[in-house]
Amino acid sequence: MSLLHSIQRQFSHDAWAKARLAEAVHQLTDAEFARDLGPGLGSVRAKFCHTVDAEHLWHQRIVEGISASERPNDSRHGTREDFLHWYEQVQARKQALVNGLTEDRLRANVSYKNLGGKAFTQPLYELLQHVALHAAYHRGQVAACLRALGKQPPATDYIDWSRENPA
Amino acid sequence: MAAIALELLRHYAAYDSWARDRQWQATAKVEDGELTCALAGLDSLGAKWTHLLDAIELWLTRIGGRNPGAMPDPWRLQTVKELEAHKSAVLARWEAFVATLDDERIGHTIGWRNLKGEPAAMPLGNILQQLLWHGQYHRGQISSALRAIGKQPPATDLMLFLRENQ
Repeated sequence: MSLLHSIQRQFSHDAWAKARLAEAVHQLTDAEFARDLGPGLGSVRAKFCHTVDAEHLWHQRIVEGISASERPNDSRHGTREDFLHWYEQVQARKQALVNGLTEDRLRANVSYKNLGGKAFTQPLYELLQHVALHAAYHRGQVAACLRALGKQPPATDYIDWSRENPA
Repeated sequence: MAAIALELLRHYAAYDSWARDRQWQATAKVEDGELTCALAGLDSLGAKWTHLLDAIELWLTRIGGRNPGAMPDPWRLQTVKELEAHKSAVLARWEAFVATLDDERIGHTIGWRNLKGEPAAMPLGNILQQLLWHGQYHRGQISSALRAIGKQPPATDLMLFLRENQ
């Protein structure tokens, strides 16, 4: 299997998993969504929003050539509806990027600056690997927040998706 | 055919090992009581580690042709020393296995029975991808558990790994 197909499959799984988490968020109340669950967990809102904001940040660096110098406040969304609208916008942009990838583009370098203004140049596939792993890491944290709220988090394992989506 | 390129699988496995080592360095310093204390939404720091290691062991056992009927109790290890012994044993098997991977092997279909006894089959590469992503999901929870007991979790972003290993 090519690098291109591997990366595209990872983002297909990620989109499926995020959609399941977004549905779980939809089932919460706005108060549950924003509730501070204490040290270590934070809130569903902060954890999920951080993931989506990071994807927006990387999309700006990769596609628009813009390197933001600060992270937005991950508790800025007052309602689930407001957050889910933001999530859908970012998801659509990311999916367009992933759909338009080629093997050559994946291996081509992208230059950007981190939040501290330091410049880096790396192949695109490394940046996308980072985005996918970052999302999986925080997916686990959103699931823990849901459990702390007394909810059953949705199954988002790769193997569950892969069973329905063989290569 | 495996649903992941061998190049990518090896890269993720190297990152996974590096990130796990960093989290273990933080975990090795906690008191036994901190390891086992119940945390809302997270079980406990020890239970998260044990589940992560048990999942690796379960899959290595299935790949080896045996099908356990249940996962062991993730709360069974009471001390950092016991957890470290389990970690060392499981990861020695895992690392030896990863070293044997090649294109042909990751494309080979593995059959197993799940915990309910139902048959299933999938290319080895997909199973390994599941394990690596399962590890990343629980890495996030282990960080949360460390923070919940008042410890600073180490940074484990892929970017840091790439910069340290260039």
